[in-house]
Formats: sequence, structure tokens, C-alpha cells
Amino acid sequence: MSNKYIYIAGKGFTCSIGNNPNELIEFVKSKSGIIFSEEYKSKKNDKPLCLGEISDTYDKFDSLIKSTIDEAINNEIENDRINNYSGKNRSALIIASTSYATKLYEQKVKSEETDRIEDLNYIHPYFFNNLICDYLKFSGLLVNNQNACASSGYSISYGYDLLKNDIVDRVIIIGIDFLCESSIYGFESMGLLDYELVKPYDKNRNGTNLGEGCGVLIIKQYDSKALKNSLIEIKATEQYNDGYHMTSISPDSIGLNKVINELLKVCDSTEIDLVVTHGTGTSNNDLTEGNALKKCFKEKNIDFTSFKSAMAHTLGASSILDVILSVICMENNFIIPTFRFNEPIKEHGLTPVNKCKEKEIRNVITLSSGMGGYTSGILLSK
Amino acid sequence: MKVEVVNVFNIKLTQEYIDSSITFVLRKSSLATNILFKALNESIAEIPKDHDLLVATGTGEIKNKIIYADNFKHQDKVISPTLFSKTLESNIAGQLGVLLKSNYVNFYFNEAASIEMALMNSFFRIKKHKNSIFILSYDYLDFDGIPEYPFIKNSPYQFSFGLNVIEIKQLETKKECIKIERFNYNYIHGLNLNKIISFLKSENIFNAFFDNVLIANNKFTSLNKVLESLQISYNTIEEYKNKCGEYPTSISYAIATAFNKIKSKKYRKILVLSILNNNISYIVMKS
Repeated sequence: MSNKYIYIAGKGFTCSIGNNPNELIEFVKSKSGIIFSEEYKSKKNDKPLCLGEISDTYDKFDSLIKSTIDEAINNEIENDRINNYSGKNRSALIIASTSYATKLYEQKVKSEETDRIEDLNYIHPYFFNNLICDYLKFSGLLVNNQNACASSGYSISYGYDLLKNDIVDRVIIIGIDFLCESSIYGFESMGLLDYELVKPYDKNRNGTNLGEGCGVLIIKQYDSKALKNSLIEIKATEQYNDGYHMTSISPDSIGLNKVINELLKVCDSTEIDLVVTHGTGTSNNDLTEGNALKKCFKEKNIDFTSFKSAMAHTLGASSILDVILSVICMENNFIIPTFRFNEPIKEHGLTPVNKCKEKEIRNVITLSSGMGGYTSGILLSK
Repeated sequence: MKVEVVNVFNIKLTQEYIDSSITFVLRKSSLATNILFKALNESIAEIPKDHDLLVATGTGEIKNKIIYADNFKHQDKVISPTLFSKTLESNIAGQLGVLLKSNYVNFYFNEAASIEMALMNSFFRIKKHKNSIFILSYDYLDFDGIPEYPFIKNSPYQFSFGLNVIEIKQLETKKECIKIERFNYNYIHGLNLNKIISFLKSENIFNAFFDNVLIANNKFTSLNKVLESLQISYNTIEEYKNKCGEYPTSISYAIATAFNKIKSKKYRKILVLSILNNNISYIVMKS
């Protein structure tokens, strides 16, 4: 295992709160990106659903993805800024999603453009892989990660391991999910959607709001001299499967405890300035995650927040967007607050950061959990 | 890194077996989960505590997805949470993780290199945690009503349910065992003969000694030219495309076959080669 350090060398994002890091802070000071949708209505009560939408058609979103990828690559730290880049130039591309291009299939079905069985290919990852690989003219190590809502967290971890083990020199991680009927009405059928704006960590939370988005990270391995560039380091990653239930995480938070405690072996809890929680606003997640925070950080009054209240839950893209927004918070010493919080959950009594807050942020833990028991944590450090 | 392949299982499943699995575990489980869990229960004497489970597939829950997607043609149809749950590929691995009490589960769904992705992940996990790793690869397609589905139409293979389990752990140096000496894989944009040769040469496959070569997947028509260029004696090649009908589980089938051949001392060093849809991979196994 290499002793070198893994840094974020490039990033790009598109979600309901924008795609420009310079405008993001001002945006979240005044509003969240979740709206009452004109396109999607509840199948149960016919009311407009609260969603973090970006675009109404697949084509528009497709071009947004490409511009997000371009943004990350164009802003990538150049090799010559880092002396010890090995120069083997082997890259890995990791793609994480839960729905891939299902939206495209649904669009075609709706417009009655298709009865062609070939169009079912849109719901298979290979269609989407080829789309991205063709766009990038990519050759290298290609990986798909599917771990439900923790998909892009697992992908960052996979990329981290590829670099640490000297398999490749550069990893591009793309986390992406489109809003599509399959996901929206699937979540609604499971009773997981809030028909009002999502209220993570609130006593009266009633479910999540779904959103769409794309996050692109380029990570590389450097020696310690690169620290002078003030890049954000991925210091550690950890995953665990709690093996409890298919659609909920263990109420005693076994998986989250394990993940957080492993990360705290690398960085003491007193040095963690912010935890970006999965914070979906569902009954199970916020209770369990809060219990884990309380157990692992003990008496320390840790600052934590949930970005889902600002951009909605972007499923397979949520972990990577959490990491990217965390990096922006670290760069600006600013905490994006948890919107619409009023009253703590009785069982753990935790209050998230619910107003814009400026403070020095050196170390951040981001957490994500997914159906199937997947739990992932990433430790970022300045 | 060198790892030991502890055991491999190739499970041939008949239609009766599949039928009997439908209600085996949980009513709400997908058929794939039920079959996999039943087969694992019956095939592996002991699954150690604290094991990692990596599940790889090329077909995922495609049948359920097709049924689910079909619902959108009938807008008034209320979506059932059970059906939705069954469309979530990651739930297959998650369900198995719950049933087997795995403490790490990962899931790879790709048409070509899912097993290679799992294999790579297993090396990381072994290095970090020294656990036993179970790589479970399966492909399942039920073709009733969808004979024109592109995966079927364009494939030379006989499709069915295929399941292979590979158990690996870190090498114990003095023990006689079967090793994965090295392996790698690549997606190559615009795959062609020169690019294949270039990749394999850079990986030192050129002129290497193998006393058997197994072609797990080959959709590249000029494979003979590749092998000639690499000076690999290809009279040892065994074409598996009609023997292992499961695509792309055929890679894990080839690993299982190589394992058994080396174990029987018939061969010492085997190359498993796969070229499929812009993906190329090789696995070198030896005694």
C-alpha cells in the first residue's frame, strides 16, 4: 500500500442548487433548490411532488452531464503543478447510478415513439457506460458501482483503493441520477416521500424529496509536497454492510458506528469540524444516523448538516455531491445549513446546523447509506 | 499481490431447481436472490464469519425491470413496492448480505467486466482486512416473451441461469495452493487488433509460458491473430462459448475450470482471456 496522499484534483457538479461553486454559497443563503414540480404529481393524491429538478428532458440533462464532466476536466490540477506525478497516465473511470438512462426509456414510451425491444437497452448500465466512454474517448479501467444511494460513496472508495494500490494514476468518478417515474413512484409506493418540503432531522419529518444531479470528481495520488497547493485530501474511506433489512438500516446503527469509528481512528473526533450526514428526512435514516453520531462523538457537540434539504436526495449521485459540496464548504469556511429544521427528534435530541454558519473547516466526514444495508463514510481533510 | 483461490463452485441449475427456489427464502425476495441463497446453502459447507461478499452480474434484475418499465405503458397502474424493490439490483447483493450475515457487500453490474471489477475489489479488501472473500457471479435471463431482447439476439450463447462462487483469501506461503498470479482488465475505446496486442504486450503476456489458454468470452473475430502475435500456442485453447452458456458468467466459469484443471495437476499455468464489447481482461492462474 502506497504512503502517498489522495487529493481531489478536479470537480464539477450539477444539481438543483446550481452548478457554479462561486454562486453556490450565495444561493443557499437565501433558498433551497427544491420546488413543487409541474411535471410529476403524486399517484396517491394527485398533488405536485416536491423535487429537486434540473431539466425536463433527457437530452437537456445529457448535455448538462457533459458540461459537468468538462468542467471537472478543464479545472483539473495540471500534472506539472505536482512534481511527483508518476506519469504512467493510466486512468480509471467509475460510474455510479441507480437509474442510468431509464428516463430516456420512459420518455420514449410516453411519446409512443417506441415499442422496440431494443430501447430496453436504456435501462441497462452498458448503454450509459458506452455513452460516457464515447464522449471521453476513454480507454482504461472502467468500473460500475451499484450500491443504491451509497453508490457514489462506494465509487470514491474504490477509486481511493485503486490509487493507494498503484493500479492507476488518475481516477474520474461520475455519480449521476435522473429523476424518472420508476424511482419517484417506486419511492412513493414505499411511503418514503414527503409531500411537503423535506425536513431532515426534524421531529416532524415525513420522508424525503427526490432530486437529480451529477457530480464528477477527479482524484490523484501525490506525495506530501502537494500539500502546499492547499488541495483537499481524501484521508480515509470506510464501508460496512449492516445486514439488517432490505430497505432500512439497523436501528442500533451498527454499520454507521463501525464506519464512523474507523474514520475516527485516522482523525480524532476533536478535530472533526463537520459531519455531512445522509440526512434523507425519512423516519428510519435520521433516527439511526443521529444515534450513531451521538454514540461515536459522545460528549462532543459536533456540527452536522444535511444537504438533502437544499438539493433533495439525488440517489446514486448523492454521496459524490455531498463530497463536492463539502469541499466547497471547506474552501469557503462555510456550512450549508439544514433547511426547515424546527424541533429535534426526541430519541437523540440532536440539532443540526440550521442557519448559515461561517467557521474554519479542516476535517469533514460525509456519510451515506443505501437500501440493501450499504453504509459508506469518507474523511476529507484540508 | 498474490492470492489463493480456496475453492470454486460451478452450479448447474435446472428449470426444476429454479422453480423450487421461487418461495425458498422470502416471499418478497427476487427470484435471483432465492436461487442464489438456496444454491449457496446447498453448496458451501461453511461460510466463515466476517466474510466479504462481492456479487457480479451482467443481467442484474433485467426481467423485473422490464416488467416494471412496462407498467409505464399503463399510466393508471399503481406501482407495487414489492415490484419496485425487486428492480433494485443492489438489493440482490444486499439481500444475500442480510441472509449470509456478510459484513461487507459490494455489487457489480456490467455487461462485460463485472467479475473483473469484483476480483480487483477483492484484492483491496484482502490487503486491508484479510477476510475471506466470496465472489458470487450469476447471470439470469428468463426469456419468456422477450426472445428479441438484444442481449439474447446478438449473443452466440445459450442463455440460462448461471452461478459460480469463487472463494479467495490471502496466500499462505508454504501451503500448496492455486494462485491468481496476476490479472488486469481494460476498457479500450475503439477496440481493434493493434490495441488488443498493445494492451497484452504491456501486461507482459507476450511470449509468456502457459500450458493452457481458456477463452472465456470472445466476440473479437481476429482472436487467432492476437494469439499468433503474442506467440501463444493456441492449440491449447478451449472454446467455451457453447459449453458455458452463461454470459458473462463465463469468465468465472473459466476461472472455476482453470482451478479444477490445475488442482487435478493436468496443467500448471493457465491464462484466462476475455474480449467482449470493448473490454479485455486476462487472469493468470498457477499452482
